[in-house]
Amino acid sequence: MPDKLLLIKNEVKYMFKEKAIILLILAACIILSIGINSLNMTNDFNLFYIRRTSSTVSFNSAKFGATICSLLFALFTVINLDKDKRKRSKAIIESNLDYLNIIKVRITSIIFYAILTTIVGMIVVMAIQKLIYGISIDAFYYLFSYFVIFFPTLLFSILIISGLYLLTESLDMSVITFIMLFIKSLKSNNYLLAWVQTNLDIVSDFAGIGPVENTIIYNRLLWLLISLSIFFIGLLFRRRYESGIGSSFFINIKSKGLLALTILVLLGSGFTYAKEPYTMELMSDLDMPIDEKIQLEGIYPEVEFDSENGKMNAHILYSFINNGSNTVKFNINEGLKINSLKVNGEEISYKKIKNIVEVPIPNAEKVNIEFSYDGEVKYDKNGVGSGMPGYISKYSIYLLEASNWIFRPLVVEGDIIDISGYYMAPDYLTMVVPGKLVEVETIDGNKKWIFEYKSHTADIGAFAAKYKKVQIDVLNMAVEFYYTPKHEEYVDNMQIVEHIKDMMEYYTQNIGKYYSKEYPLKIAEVSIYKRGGHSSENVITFSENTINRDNDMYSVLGKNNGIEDFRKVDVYANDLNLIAHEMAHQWWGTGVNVIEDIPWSSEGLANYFSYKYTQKEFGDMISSGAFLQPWEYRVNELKNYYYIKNDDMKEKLNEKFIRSLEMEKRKAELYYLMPLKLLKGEEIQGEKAFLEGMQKIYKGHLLKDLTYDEFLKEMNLDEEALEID
Amino acid sequence: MINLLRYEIKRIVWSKKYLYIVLLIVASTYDSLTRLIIGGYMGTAPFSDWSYTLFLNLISPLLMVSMIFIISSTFNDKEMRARSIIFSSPITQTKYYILKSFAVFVIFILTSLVPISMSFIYYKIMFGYGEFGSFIKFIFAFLFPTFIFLLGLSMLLGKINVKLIYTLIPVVFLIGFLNLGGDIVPMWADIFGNNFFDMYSLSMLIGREMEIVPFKLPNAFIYTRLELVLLGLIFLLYTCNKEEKE
Repeated sequence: MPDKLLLIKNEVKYMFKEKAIILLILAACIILSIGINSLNMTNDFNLFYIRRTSSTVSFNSAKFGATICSLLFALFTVINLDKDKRKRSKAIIESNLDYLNIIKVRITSIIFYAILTTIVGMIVVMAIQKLIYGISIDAFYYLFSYFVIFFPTLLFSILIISGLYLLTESLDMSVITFIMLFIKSLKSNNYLLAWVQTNLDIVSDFAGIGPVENTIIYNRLLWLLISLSIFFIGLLFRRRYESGIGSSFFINIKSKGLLALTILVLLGSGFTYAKEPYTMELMSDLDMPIDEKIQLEGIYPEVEFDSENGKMNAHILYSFINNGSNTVKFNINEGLKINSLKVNGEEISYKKIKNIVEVPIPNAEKVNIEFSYDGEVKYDKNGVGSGMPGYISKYSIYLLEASNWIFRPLVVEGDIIDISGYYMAPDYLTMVVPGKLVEVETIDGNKKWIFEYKSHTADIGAFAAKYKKVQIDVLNMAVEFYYTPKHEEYVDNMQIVEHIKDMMEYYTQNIGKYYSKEYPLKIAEVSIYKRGGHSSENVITFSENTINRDNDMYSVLGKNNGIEDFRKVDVYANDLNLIAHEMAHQWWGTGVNVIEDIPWSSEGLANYFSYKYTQKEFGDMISSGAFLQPWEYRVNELKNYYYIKNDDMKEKLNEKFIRSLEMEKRKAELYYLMPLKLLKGEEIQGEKAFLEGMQKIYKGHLLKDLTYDEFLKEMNLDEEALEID
Repeated sequence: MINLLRYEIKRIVWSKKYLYIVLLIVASTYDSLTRLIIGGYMGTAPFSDWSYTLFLNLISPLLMVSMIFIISSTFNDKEMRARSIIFSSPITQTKYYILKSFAVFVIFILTSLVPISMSFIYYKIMFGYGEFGSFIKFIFAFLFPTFIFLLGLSMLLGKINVKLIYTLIPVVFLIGFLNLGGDIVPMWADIFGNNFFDMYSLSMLIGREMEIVPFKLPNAFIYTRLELVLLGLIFLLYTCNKEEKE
């Protein structure tokens, strides 16, 4: 056996005899087991009672375990490296052996134990899942969670602390510096910096890891390079016998291989960080100036999705009415590369500044612009894992207009925008298209989903998965409900379809008829990688947590459908409220175009009606505790925010913070203040009269605009009367 | 005795290790003030009692871990070897540990003054705010009991086996850093007071109807802090008086 292998074998044996490593492995197993339920230990109310599956059990345990075990392994490593210094035996060893070999052997042995801990921990958690919870094992999720998340975290910890120790030659300084890096990782929104536990909250049962796997692997690659950089820098400064840091460096630097490796990994880290390919800073619509002199009349998308490779290929034709503009600006997604651009049939050159493309147009009344582009949709920089407005993966496609997957023209939108075209995707996926599905053609293992729509907005989404489709007929209205068969048991047991029917009936009775007989309402479950719900035109989506809860939740509907457990009822009421809110947008937002004038918007109306529905279903106590009280609290709180009350002090804050504060305020006014105002109006006029007034307004403004002034006037209300104290 | 104390403090303060710790605390304080405290805690002013308590909670884990490291040097091999010589001099074991503990206590005060004075300077320059008197009770309520408890515990553990102090480091850091909520960590085990702060601020600040909500420390919390001080002192007393094995 070669000398080095023999040394490693002996070191592994020696560490084992020391017993500390046994305790460490044991502690890791306990921590990983506790981690199985770590989601319920957070403040993330929306993720409570999520159904236990291989993906959640393995990921939660690995994530929780990685946080604590990285610290434990770092400490174990540094104590081992410091051992000879503490025992003053370093000089004796150095006179007999190359001390570098000892360091290498110790680190390799610790890495060996990190692998052993990973395997043992994984087996323990698997056994708990199988024997205690009776859930079958999906080895893929375990291998992913333990060998892409848990073990790399331990490896990075070992390398980072080793490098820091070699650099500082001090146990204390290296541990404290390590702790700083640890804190930075846990407090950062940037997925690249989250090396300890990655910034994923949960693995989607709906979409798998596909949409996020690239970002996780990239994070691991970056931190492998960074931790190697720290380790190699440490080796460069490793203290030589009776030499200080400077003279040791000059001796160590003579090793050309080490120097080359250090430079290589340092450059690699810098390059990997700077050239990160998966995210961009998405600009919100509020930041965009709109050109009033040109109007959008139609969009004709022809899009092919290569979901296996996460790519798309699009040809989009836009038609405009030009009233004197020279250019049209488009907000684009940086991951999509423009192959050709034609204006009125002629190829034209354009200006591109970051994610804005400026296209020169002729001075003609009718202007057609055709884009051909392809590539991978980039995610929002701060939303990886929980706020991704667009992604394409093998088993799920989720593209909201906010991702600019269809380039967004920054112009005025016509009253009715003609939308027609097709999406093509592998035939195992069911696509949810906007408007009306005209035809489905099968071509070479792909399906072509042809659709058409007369829309109020240019908001076009695309959603696909291996869906089960349920057709619900309510009062001659067509509702299509798309969800994954994986969650069918919950949908059935928790009477989700019945609730959707009830909501339709409730809104029809209390607001008016659904706005269209031609376009069915499409309700689609989507992944947890974009939390909450969304509504654009006749398609609404909600994230999977809404219908992917644990069997424990069934106790909410007791033997006589009575309420048994209030905490679970709260979760259930919130889930249904999310669906009810998005459905209410079909009346307010799609049916009636509510012209935003803060706090007035379709959000307030949708929240008011979803609250009314929840109140009917769950009674005053639940609906008031879950919605009314938090709204009042939030409105009161924001009124008393220091930076809101003292506007002049905002200049102390950076732009990002000011923007987030303004967004918070805007959200509170749209979502909480407005429904409170509407409830006040109801209190003044009485529920019956108020709802009758709303019905009249809906009827009168169907497929038209509705301003706040019109609403107040037609309801015989005034701003002052709706003032909230 | 005073001279010995002075020498002990000087020895720690003039070490490279201490300088490095102070530099890291300065960096961490700067980051906390400019990135987190500037926005104010839950919409309160950045210089409110609430924001200041958050600031104390942010710097506390690093500060305490640094102090445990300094305490651990009392039990390192070098110190242990020197101890046989020290104990052959007129100094008793009790006096020796009192001297060591007091030196660490003074170092703690000196080190705490770094982030505290940085925060005061920051408030004065950024917001022209200078009423720092109200912060003193929070400094005493949140930093001191935690430190005295950990000082006593570290001394006790160190006397048993220095490796136990190293085990204490990740435990202390995680308790201080991870906010586990009031349901999981009972108030008596909430060494840093961060779980109490989290629950208490939620109950007081959510839905508030005034800009300035007074931060009154509940008696129950004060008692738990006093308990921590008492426990720390008992540990210290035990450490000082327990006969050492030859």
